[in-house]
Order: sequence, then C-alpha cells, then structure tokens
Amino acid sequence: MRCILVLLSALLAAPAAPADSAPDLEAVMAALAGAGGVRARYEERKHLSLLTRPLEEEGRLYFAPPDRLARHAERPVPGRVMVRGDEVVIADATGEERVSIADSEIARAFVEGLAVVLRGDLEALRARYEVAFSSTQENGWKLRLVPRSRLLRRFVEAIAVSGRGARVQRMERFEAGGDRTVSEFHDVEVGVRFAPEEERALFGAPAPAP
Amino acid sequence: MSESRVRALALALVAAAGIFCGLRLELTGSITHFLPSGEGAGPGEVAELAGLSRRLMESELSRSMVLRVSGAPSAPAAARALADVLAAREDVAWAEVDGTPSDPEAFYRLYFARRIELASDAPEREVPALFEDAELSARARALRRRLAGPGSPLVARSAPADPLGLFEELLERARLSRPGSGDAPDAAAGHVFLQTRASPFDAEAQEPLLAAIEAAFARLRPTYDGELVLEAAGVNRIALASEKSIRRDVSFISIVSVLGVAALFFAVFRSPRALGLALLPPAAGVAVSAAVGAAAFSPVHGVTLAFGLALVGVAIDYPIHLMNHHALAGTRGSRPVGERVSPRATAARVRPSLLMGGLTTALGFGVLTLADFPGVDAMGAFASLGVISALAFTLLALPAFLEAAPADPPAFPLRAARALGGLARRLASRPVRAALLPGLLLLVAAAGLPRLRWQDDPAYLTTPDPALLAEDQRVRAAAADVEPGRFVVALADDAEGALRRNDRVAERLRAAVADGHLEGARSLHALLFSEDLQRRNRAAFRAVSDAGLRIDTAFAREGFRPGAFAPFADELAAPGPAPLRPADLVGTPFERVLDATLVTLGSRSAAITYLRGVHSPEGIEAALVGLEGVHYFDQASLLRGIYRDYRRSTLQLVVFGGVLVFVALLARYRRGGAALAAFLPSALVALAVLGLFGLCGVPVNLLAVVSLVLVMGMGVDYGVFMVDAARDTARLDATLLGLAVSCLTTIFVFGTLALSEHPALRAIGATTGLGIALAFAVSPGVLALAGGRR
Repeated sequence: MRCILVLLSALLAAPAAPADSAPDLEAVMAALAGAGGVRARYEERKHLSLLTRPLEEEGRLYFAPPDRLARHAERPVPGRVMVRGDEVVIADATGEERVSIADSEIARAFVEGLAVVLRGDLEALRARYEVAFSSTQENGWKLRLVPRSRLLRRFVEAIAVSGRGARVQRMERFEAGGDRTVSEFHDVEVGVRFAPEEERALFGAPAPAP
Repeated sequence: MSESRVRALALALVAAAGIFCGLRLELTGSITHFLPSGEGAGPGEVAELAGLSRRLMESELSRSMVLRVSGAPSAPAAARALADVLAAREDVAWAEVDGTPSDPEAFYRLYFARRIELASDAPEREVPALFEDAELSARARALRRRLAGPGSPLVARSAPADPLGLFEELLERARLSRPGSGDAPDAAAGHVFLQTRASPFDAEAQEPLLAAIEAAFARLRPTYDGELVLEAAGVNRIALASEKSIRRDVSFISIVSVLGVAALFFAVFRSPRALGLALLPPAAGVAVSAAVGAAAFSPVHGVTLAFGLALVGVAIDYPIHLMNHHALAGTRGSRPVGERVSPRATAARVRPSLLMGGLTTALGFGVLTLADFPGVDAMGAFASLGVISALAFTLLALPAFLEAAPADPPAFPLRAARALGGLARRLASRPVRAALLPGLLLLVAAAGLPRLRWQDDPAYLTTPDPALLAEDQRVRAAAADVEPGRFVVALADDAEGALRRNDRVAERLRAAVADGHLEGARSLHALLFSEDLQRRNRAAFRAVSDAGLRIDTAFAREGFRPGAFAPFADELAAPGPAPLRPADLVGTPFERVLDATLVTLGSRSAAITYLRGVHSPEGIEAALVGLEGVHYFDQASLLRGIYRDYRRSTLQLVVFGGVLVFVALLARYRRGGAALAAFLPSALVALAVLGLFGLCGVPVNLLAVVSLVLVMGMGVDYGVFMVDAARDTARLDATLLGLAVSCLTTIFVFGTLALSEHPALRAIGATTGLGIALAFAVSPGVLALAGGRR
C-alpha cells in the first residue's frame, strides 16, 4: 500500500479546469466556476533530480464539479487516481485502495487547494495561496500560486497554471529541491455533463445527495 | 418488652439495614468479577493469564463495536458521517472509519528517523539480503514506479534518505495495526470502529447508546443514495439482548410464581397476611446480609448477590414451620387443647428444631466462604448470614406479629395435616415400603452418577439470539476485525523483556499466516520493536560493506543519478537515534494501540497480539513452541477451565459442608439412626438429582451445583423437623403440612424457573424443583429410620 502522504500529492499533478474569456482574475475564476464538467487528454513530464531522464505519462483527465477529479493513465502504466471530496481512490493492476485525507493537514491542503481552482472559488483560492494573475494575448491568462501554508511550501514552492478562456492548457508544479512537473492538456472539453453510469465508471461511488 | 415494641424494633432494624444497603451497596455487572484475580488461581503464569483474562474482558476490546454500512456505493461516505456523529457523543471514547493512520505527519516525525532501526524482524538474515544486487534492482524499479505515481513530490523528497522504501514498509505495518485494516477488507462497504466508555455489561449505559446509533443512522440514511443497511457487532449488543430476554422471562415466571404462592397460603392459612408474615424473616435475612455485604464486600456482583439472597430463600421454611405449628396448636392430635396458645409458646416448642435446622443450613452455606473463587465465597457469606438472621427473626420477632392460636383450628389445614401424618405413619409402619423410595433414589444415583456429564462452558449459560450472533460474526469477518477472545501473550519481568518476546512472536506468526493457520494479527510490533532488535537492525545495516556504492550501482542501472542517495549512506555511517520506547508513543495517534497491546500485570509486563481469522489454534500453538513466556490464549477455553475449577471447588465444599452438617446432627441426636434420618433427605436427594440428570443425559453446570446447595439446605431442615416431630403425632401432622407448604412454595418460587428459555434459569429451576419435591417425598421415610413408628 502506498503512503497516504504520497497519495495525496496526486492532486499536485492534476490540471485545473478550463475557463472562458478572462480579462482579469475575477473573470477567469468566474469562467472556471461556470465551466462545469471537464474532459481532456493530458501529457505529463516529471523532471526529477534523482533521475537522469524525465518520467512521462499520458492519459485522460475528468472533472465533475464541485470536488470530483479523476486521472486515468494509459501509458506507460495504466492506472487511475480518483478524488472524491475527502477521499482518494487509487486503482491499478494490483487492486484498489481508498484513503481518507480528512485528518492530514498536508493532504487537505493539496486537495482543497486544487479543488478551489477547479470550481473557480476565488475566495478560497486567496485564502490558501498568494495569487499572481496576468493576462496574455487572445484571451489567454496565467496564474502563479504560492502556498500560504509553510508545511505545504516544504513540498511545493509554486504552481503555474495557464489557459485560454475557460480551458486550462498547462500546469507546472515547482517542487522543493528543484524538481518540476509539467502537465499539458489537449482536446479539452468543458461543460461536460456526465451520465450517472459514466460518472460511476469514471469517479467511482457517487457523492452523497445534498 | 411488649410485643408491639418488639414489632417496631424488628421492623426498624430491617428498615435500617435496607436503607443502609440501599445507600452503600455497590453492584457490578461484569463477568470479570467471577474470574480469579490472579492470586491463588493456579501456579505461576496460569494465574497471570487468569488475571490478564479478567483485565482483557473489561479492556477496550470488549468495549469496542464495529458498525457496517452497506447496500449502496455511498456506504463508505455514510459510514464516515456516522462516525463523525458518534465520535461527538460523551459515551463514546472514539469512533473512526476503517483506514489509515489519522495523523500521517505525526507518524512521519516519529518514525522516519527510525526506519533503519525498525526495518526487520530478523535483521541478521534479512538486511544483508536487501543489499544483494537483484534485490537492490527490484527496489530501484519500485522507487521509479512510486516517483511516476501521484505521490511523487513526497517520494522525491524522502527517497534520497530512503531509497529502499523502508519508511513505506513501516507505514504499511502501522496501517495493519489499526482496527479494520485487514489485508482484504470489504471495499463495498464502510465500517465504523468505536469504543464505548462504559462496560459492555452496563445495560443502563449501553441501551441509550445503541438506540442513539440506530437513530443517527436513521437520520443519515435518507441523505445518501441507495438503500443503505446498518449492521453491527459488539459484546454490548449481545449482553443487552440477553439481559432484556432474561428480564422478560423472569417477569412471566414471577407472575406464575406469585399467584401460586398466594393461592397456597390462602388455602392453608386463610389469610393473605400470612403470606406477608412468612416473607418477613427471609426479607430480614436478605436485608441484613445485603447490608453486611455492602459494608464488607462492595462492590458486589449482581449475580453473587442474587444467588446469595436466593439461598436465603431457604429460610422461608422457618416461618412456615412456626406458623403452621401455631395454626394447629389448638389441637393435640384429635383432642382440642381447649385454650388459645400464645405464639411465644409455639415458638418455644419448635425452637430446638428450628435452631438445629437453621444452624446446620447456615453451616452448609458457610462452608462456601472457603472457596478460592471470588463470588462463591461472598455468596456463602451472604447465604449463611441471611439464614441466621432469618432464623433469629423467626424465633424472636415473628411471634410478636402472630395472634394467639385459635382454640378451634381451621378445618382444611387440620384435615390436610392429619392426612399427611396418617400417610407418613402408615409408611413408617412398613419399613420395606418406607425404604422403597430412598432405595429407588439410591439406584438412580448409582446408575446415573457414572454417566453424569459436566457442562463447564459459560457460553452454555446464555442463549444469545442466533440472528444477533450471526450478524456479529458477519460484521467482524467483513470488517477484517480481530477475534475477541483469542490472543498471543508474551509475558516478562519488564516492558523491554515483553517486547523482546513479542518480536519473536511476530516473526513466528508471520510464518503461521503464510502457513494458513490464521489470516492476520494486530500487534504492537508493527509500531515498536524491542530496543535490542532496534540495535540489531542498526548494527546489521552498518555491517554491510560498501552499502552506498552498491545502491548507486544498482540504482544507476534503472536511470537514477549516481550519488543521489548519499544522504542514506551517510546516515548508515552515523550512530543513529535513540531507540524508540513505549513512552515515545504516548500522546501520539498510536497511544491507543500501545494501551491495548502492552499492559502491566502486577510487577510484570505483557505484550498482547490480537489474532484475526484463526483457522488452526493447534497450528498457532505449534508455531509458538519453544518461546519462553509466550502463550496462545483462548479466552473461552480459559473460562471453561475456570468454571470447571469453580464447579469442582463448590462441589467439594458442598461435600465437606455435608460432612460437617452430619457431624453436627450426630452431636445433637447422639444416635446414628436419628442423625442419618435427619441427613437423609439432604444427601440422598442431592445424589439422586445428579443421578437423574446423568440418566437423562442432561449436562450439569455450575448453577445446578449451586442450586443443589439450596436443596440440601432445605433437605436438612426437612430431616431435622421430621426427626424432632417423629414421636409426637400432632406435631408430626403439623410438621408434614409445614413441609408440604414449604415444598410447594419453593417449587413456585424456584422450580418455575424450569419454564424459562434460558439455560441458566432452567438449570436452577430444574435442580431446585426436582430436588425439593424429592426431599419432601423422602421425608416420611425418615420416620422409619428415626424410630417414630407408632
């Protein structure tokens, strides 16, 4: 079984939700909040000081607001990581494992930090990160997020997210010690409505009824 | 002193005793009260294990519950919500869902620095194997996989100092040390593990908690998708259900009993007041003995008190004997006396018989105080003191409540007494016929005793609802919970010694799991090795030559940068941290595990390993062979042994008490025949009842033996009363009627328990009812032996 700490940092590797046209931070977050479900392909490269060459992974990403996220890796090793509120589910060829992150400060920071970006929750985003925003040409935007938590900063120095409109296109995580993880998103669809069966298949058990 | 003052004083004394015990008497409901304290329970470690059993039965394990929520994919979320609700309750010590360490940061702080010290059970063998080339390559590939996974920031952070993944292995062991962390827990359901603050046998505390669990689930259920189902496992549920069931049973039987006794007394004495008066002496005996118990034995187990006081029920003989003689005191055989006889005069006439009967009964009960077992000794003390108090009340105070006997006794009791007397005299005049029944009982005893089977399993005394039991087992199995009542215990003079033995236990059990003897174990070993083993681990790592170079070489082949793991190599060369000790776990999320698995027993320490999915107790015992101070411990088996000893000890004391009673009778009558006659109903009936059980194939348990004590106490009374009345026709008539009333009263009070569905109550009822009926039936035969033939 994998360490809970290890599991939770899965969230650092997950991309943000896309956004629509965004002249400023508020508009970008509003676009992200209104984007609804997301489906995309991703390519991830991990540049680690331990390794002589980067590690690569490809697969599909799914997001269902407000707090469900799934990464289905296709190569080099098939596997799934699903986040459902305070629960992380990891499934691969060796089986499935569920981990509660409710009691871990680091884990909660990772999960909540990412969740607020994906659901466009600007207030919560500012509470957890120092946020730097810049707009680029053709409706593009960039966010630089620095964790306010000292504990989290021991692992992640900053996260850079860029996109166009309501679509996230790239996320780069700068880790303590100089490591770096870059995720690029293609074929991004927003406003996706998952059918119940599809939702169950992609994210596992449904969330509790409101 | 006037009779009115005697009445007032007697009632005041009884009331004072009642109030005193009401204020002071502390009752306990725990079964542990009947377990030996550890002193005198046997030699050496057997006594320690008995003490440990006593402790474990009130430990967190017995106070734990498992709640299983299933039926829909939302079950795990619902279980978490339920755990949150229950954790907030004051009567719940803690509640959590199955899973992982609740504070991973704390675990990291405590354990990462000691991952080398806690690496292996057998470091001299396993650590060198870690550094073999193939193993290093495998670990390099594993690290690469972890870096590719979602936890890479944390893995990358710790890997330079832990390329072999020692910390992750330690974390996995710790996960398995938590409740519900089996290798394959049911993933389609959510399990809540909780611990109650109150004892599982505390019905007053458990009933509202169980109701609150149901209510909380009922509130949560509609807020989740699907048809969720709640099931539960816990000693408290079974104990509460048993108690409720027994209470219902006893309520029904009590109604039958009270109606029967009331009808009987009205028929004989023509007055409901007589019933109240007859109950006064036993009530006084109960009040006095309970008051003394409150002062001397507190806390008293409810069962001890109930049995002790039930034995005082034998004292109903004395007021019945006195009142019956007094009711018929207006006649001398067929001739009326012609004057009203005062109650004091009647009391003086029957005093020798009552004294002899009462004191021999008290002697028989008093012998039980010599028992080694807690509970039985107190029971004997209650009973003998209660009998003496009731006897004193009967002789000194009861006459003050009676009116002078009518010159013309009521017709029905008179006719009944004469009929019984005539029957007895006819029987006594034909010794062969008189000997028929005692002879038959002797035959029954001779034929049945060799076939007697003892039932020493305390589980037999309770009949939990089979559906409840099945649910309990189903939930525990699904939640991969440890089995209550099965442990491996490592005993030593101090905690370090116990941990050293526990290290060996863990190693052996790991092999036993691999061999299929059990599915898993929960042990402190997952979190804490002995200091000795920690030092051996550090030494084994340091003994590996060129460890850093070997790691670099093997890992470089898998794409790792040479020199990346220098921090680990540096750490191997350093002296290492101080060994982890039990005190270091205090205040951490693992303190609960420490409390449950490392306990002190007097001056010694015990490390306990809880077992899961035991398939072969013999295989486990074989796996532990040769480990000093280590025992496979099956609580049910231990309890069977304790109850067997309990029963044997009680039986021996009953025999010893019988001998003493016979000696006392010899001293009183100075004739062997009379003493034997007085003793006959007691001894013969006890043997015959056991023989009958043997012939019928009914297993006999401890409660039947205790009930026999009551039967023998009343049997001696019957014998003494008969012998003393043998030469006086009128007195014999009155005595026989008194015995008949006493016998029927006892059958109504105790014998009706045979109607119960519960084996414990049924054993008491069958033994008492059958025994008392036989004691009465044998009584006329006493006349022939006592020389009372006219």
